Amino acid sequence: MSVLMNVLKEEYERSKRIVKSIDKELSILPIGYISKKQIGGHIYYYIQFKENGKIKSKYINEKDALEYNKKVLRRRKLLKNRKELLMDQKRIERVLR
Amino acid sequence: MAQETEFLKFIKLLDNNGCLSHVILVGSWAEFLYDKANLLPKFVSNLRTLDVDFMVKNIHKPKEKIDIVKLARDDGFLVEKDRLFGTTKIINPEGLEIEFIIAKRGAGSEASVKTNLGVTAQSLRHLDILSKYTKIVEFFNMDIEVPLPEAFVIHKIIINNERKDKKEKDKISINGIYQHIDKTKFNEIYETLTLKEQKIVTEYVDKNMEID
Repeated sequence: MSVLMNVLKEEYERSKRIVKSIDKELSILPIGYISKKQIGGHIYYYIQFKENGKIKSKYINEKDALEYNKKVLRRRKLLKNRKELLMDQKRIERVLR
Repeated sequence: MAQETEFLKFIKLLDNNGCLSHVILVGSWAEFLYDKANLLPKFVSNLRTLDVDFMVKNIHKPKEKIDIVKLARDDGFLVEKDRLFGTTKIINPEGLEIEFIIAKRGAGSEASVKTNLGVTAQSLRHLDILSKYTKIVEFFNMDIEVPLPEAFVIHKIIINNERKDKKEKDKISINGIYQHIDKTKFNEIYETLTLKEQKIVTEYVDKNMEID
């Protein structure tokens, strides 16, 4: 196997390992997102998520909402990274085929 | 490039937490710095993989333990432990995999060692060559220690036969850097090697390189 092919194979394996790590963290991150509603001059926070195909909403206090939002953003970022890594893997698979 | 930005992010994390002076950047990213910091004029680093390797200089330093693993997690990195050796892998979700190695000394048989930096490093032979001959280069206003290119080449030659799939890639790296290094310094380091190591280097140079 040529040097370049070996490097690609190595990077392919690395990418697979990274996706596995991302999946592990995704499994403990919450799904859904935070929505805000202003009622009578006061802001209320809700977790919006899908359950059995229906969008559900659950009240959450401001402090928890900020924490939850951080996790939601982290999930979004990791999903984006995961998508890019999977695209790279497909590209490498085409070259290695 | 994205990978350079991500590399910089981890270097900054080490620097901001007083860890950078306790490690030496080795591997393909050291080559990247030879190029970027103009350590080897005319040398162009062209093959850089997504694994970043740091050599821990001393398991007992810093005196006050630092937990790089926690700092990295807090900064958005993923952390894994190698199942076989227990070594720490810090993973950047964008694609970089950061690992730590340390020099195996004496009769040491352990495959990995816990360090005061909070990471478990893989213990490897012949790394002394890299840590004895180093240079500090400036990169984005940070001081990063790298092996002298002459030591880098000698080390790669010595371990070449053990590198399996990476053997040919390393040969390209060795030959690429060898043309630009200071041959006097190369010979000076060569003289400090054990007879066995000298034999490996001589045979490699005779077989693979044109001697000046």
